[in-house]
Amino acid sequence: MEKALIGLAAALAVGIPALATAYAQAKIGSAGAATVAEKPETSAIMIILEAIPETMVILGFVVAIMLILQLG
Amino acid sequence: MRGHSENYSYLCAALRARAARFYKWDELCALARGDFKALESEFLEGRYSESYRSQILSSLFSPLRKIELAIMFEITKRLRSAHLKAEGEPHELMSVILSRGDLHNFRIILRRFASDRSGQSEEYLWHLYGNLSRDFFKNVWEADDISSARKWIYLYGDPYGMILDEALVTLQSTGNLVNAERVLLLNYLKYHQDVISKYQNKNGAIAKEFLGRLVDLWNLNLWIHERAGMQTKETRVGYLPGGSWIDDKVLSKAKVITEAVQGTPWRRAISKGAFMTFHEFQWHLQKEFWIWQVSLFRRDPLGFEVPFGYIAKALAEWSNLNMIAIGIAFGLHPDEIIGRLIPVK
Amino acid sequence: MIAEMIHLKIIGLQRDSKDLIEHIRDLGVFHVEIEEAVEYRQIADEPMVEKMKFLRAGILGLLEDLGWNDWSSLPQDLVESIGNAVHLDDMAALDEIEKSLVEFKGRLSEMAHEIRAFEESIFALKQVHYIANHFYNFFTEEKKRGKAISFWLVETGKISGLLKKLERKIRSATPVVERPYFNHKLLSQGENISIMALSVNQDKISAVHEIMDEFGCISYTMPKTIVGESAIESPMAAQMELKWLPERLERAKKTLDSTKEEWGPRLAALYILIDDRLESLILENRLSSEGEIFTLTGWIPSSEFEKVKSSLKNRFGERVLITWRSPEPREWPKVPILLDNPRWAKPFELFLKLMPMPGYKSTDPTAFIAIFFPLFAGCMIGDIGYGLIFLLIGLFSLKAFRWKNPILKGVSQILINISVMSIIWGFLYGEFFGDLGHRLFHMEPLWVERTHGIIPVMVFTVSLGVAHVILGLALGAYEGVKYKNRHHTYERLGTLFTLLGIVLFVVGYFNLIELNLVPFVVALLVTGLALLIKGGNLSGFVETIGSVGNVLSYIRIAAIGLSSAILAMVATKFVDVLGVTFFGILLAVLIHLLNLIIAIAGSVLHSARLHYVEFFGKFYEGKGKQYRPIKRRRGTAWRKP
Repeated sequence: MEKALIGLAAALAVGIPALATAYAQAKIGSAGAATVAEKPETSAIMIILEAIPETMVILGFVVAIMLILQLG
Repeated sequence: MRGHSENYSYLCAALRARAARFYKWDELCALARGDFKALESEFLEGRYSESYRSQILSSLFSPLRKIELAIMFEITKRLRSAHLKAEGEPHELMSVILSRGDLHNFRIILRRFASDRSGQSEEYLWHLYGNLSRDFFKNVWEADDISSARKWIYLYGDPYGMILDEALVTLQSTGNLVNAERVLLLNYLKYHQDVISKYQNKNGAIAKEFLGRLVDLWNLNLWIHERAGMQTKETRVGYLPGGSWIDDKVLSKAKVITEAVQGTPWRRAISKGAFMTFHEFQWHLQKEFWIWQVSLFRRDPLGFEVPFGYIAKALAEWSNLNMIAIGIAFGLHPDEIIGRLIPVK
Repeated sequence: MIAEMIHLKIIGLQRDSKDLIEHIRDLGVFHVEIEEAVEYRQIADEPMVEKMKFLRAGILGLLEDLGWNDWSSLPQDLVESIGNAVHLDDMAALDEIEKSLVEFKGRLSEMAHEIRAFEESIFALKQVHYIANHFYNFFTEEKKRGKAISFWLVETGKISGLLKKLERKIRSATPVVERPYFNHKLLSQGENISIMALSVNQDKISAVHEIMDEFGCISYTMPKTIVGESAIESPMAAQMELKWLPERLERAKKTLDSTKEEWGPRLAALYILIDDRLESLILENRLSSEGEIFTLTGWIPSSEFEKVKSSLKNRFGERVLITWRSPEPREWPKVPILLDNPRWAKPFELFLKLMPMPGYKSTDPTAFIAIFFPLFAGCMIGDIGYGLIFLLIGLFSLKAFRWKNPILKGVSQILINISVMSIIWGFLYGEFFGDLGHRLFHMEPLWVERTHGIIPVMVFTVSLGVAHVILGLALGAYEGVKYKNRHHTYERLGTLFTLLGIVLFVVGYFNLIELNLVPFVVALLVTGLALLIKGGNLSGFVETIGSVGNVLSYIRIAAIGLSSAILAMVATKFVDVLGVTFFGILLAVLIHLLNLIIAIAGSVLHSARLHYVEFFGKFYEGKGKQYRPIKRRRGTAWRKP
């Protein structure tokens, strides 16, 4: 039972931030696409902005791995 | 899963990027200080070059007319392509705001039939980013009298054109331009109410406030008209209901204008010192209206404020560049030209 | 590497200026120093320049009117023959050109006008024909009966009320002995307008007008055909017109097309000639001249210097004086930037093309990108099989684009680099299409199998992150020293020491090395904090915290790699479950294909991100101006205006 809970926790740890990241990237992405279409010189800045929310899911991934390691 | 709001982030980002193409205040002032050659050279190589170059080899128009045409084509193009970028809610709300072009043209036509000045040689530069086409306005404008103008409206068959019809009938039966404009504005507002009522949110509220302020502006103008004695008892018409800040009942009873505008954004136009002429007062009111519209552009980066402000910026630029071109061509002093520009700081 | 530049000053005789400019344009390496325009075109153009700019824009406008856009197939000999035929060097010739262009424009707008008029009349005529047809029988029959027929435009909503009122009115106006006569026919026009034909006895027509006016209806007269008859009386005439109008329209359109074919290329050639002449002319006007002498200043790459010098000396001999010097530090912001990297790193200059150029004498990170970018991407893909496929694609596209498209050629080279690194990492992880290599050839990983030992890979990627970020910080500090920006230097160094201190602390905490690290940790942290404080503001501390986040961000390499490896294994599992059947293999191949696309897209995007965000953020400042030498455009590869 405890194992199952840890597994679930790991799944949530990576799943919820993934949803949050997706939401943020969707917003930033559509704005970024529009901006790049109008001003191509902003491409690199847009990649940077689009990448910022990814940190959430990376940290979630680290937490999930740590939880799974507890399973042994 | 394509929500209306999804398009806002795309639309707003695109329009904010495009807004960089508008002239900044300092640039406008610099243009106003230059001569006509400098203005032509700016149009030749600057941001209006694409619309300007199709005019320059034409033998039909004067240099000033070419510049005016270039401004018209460019701004119309920008507004139309902005409108095409929007979908769903922003598209419909933009239609409401852009129909101000039709309203503008309607007013010009009403005035033409009121004063019967049909002898103009060049075609009026219609504002064609709204619902109706150049053919419509041109044919109605060129009609010999109100009845044949109405015939054109009927044959054109666009329900939007019927907004003008009733105003023309009023003008024909009463001969009172103010009354005809009142009917025009009333029908115009009625036409858009359905669309706006669909959007009971912050974005819809902006469009609603725009229409409300149009009413405010008309009522204030009427008030000053009456007080200036330009309206006799027989020609007096009622104030319009539905203003966004000014209560028409309070206004009709007000002895001094400050009573009515107290606590509203319009008070800023009044506080510019004692008046002045009727036209000066009108100009201050107009300016206040523009400042509000342009200021919204930077309010909410993901709301209707951006397309709304974009439209305002584009139209303000039209008016400003026209002012500069005409001012320079007629030899006005630069400070005088700058004084008549809409502030887009 | 950012190419060394030399500041060159050419002093010559005024009468040589035209030749010199043409010569410099032929050399194609000279970046002319231009004074920034201060106010709105304060420098008034010369009348010639002004006229040429006017003509150039006008021709472009004409080409747009014509709808001609065939720049790529413009024959070079046409440009030359027109160049021989027209003179662009005196005002009278330009005036002459303008005159004929204005005439041409006039003809063109007439043509366009004609076409539009035809189109409009066809449309209108069709409508009239439709209306006339609809009412024809009604009209002729009522006419035969001797009735008065009138046409009206009516709002559809008002029709029923109107008809009732009309009938009543006519009945009341008709004497009791007579029979009231009233007939009507309707045709709807659009949403809310209808055309109504009314037929009454001749003497009742005024009554009809009265009612119609009351209802705000408008009298409608049937338009006349070109022959002058009312369309309703002879619908045949309208039909006839409808037959021959389209033919005339076709003819008008053909004339316009042939005008376009005939004049498009000529106008384009003229455009190119004027554009070319204008470029020299503008340059000539920018020369600063005193009496008989002119001066031209600008920049050239030092590698081109000897060539330029000797070619100028050969051409002009003693008539030109050339002085040169290296830029002084205060001039650095003005020096144009040319990236000049060895062949192995050259393709990676693409990454800087998406950003503003680096400043002169600052670091060009291209070489670092060339090392780290394939390393990161390869570490994420980490599969021999996938690597081989990418290698094949890369080699194939390199062959295809080598001479055609420099950008795609660069992309192919980058792909080859990535594929080689993927193969190397594939050996380290022991992956060949997932665990297929292990199953078929008993392949064993040289280092670790990702799906079982994720921790070592994570630790490795974080270490890679530490190294990459520290490299970035060191470069940042170096930039600070070079540009004498003390605040910048202290901040970067402080962050660097603090980060190192934190890393050593972690190493000590987990007892990763048998050594007492506490003194080192303390020393590094104290130095780091001291430098941050000396740096002088809070942003240093924020930057330090950010750097820790940046380092953790490199875990994505392990994470994406892991997901790619697992997906590859899943693909092979299908064969386990479904057996070595057609369906099983098909599914496995499809999943591998999907994974292949995800792998390349993910790895490229994420390593690009690691460079742009985590690495560049530490030192890169886009403050340079691009090197744009004045060149002559050759061949038919005209820059599209």
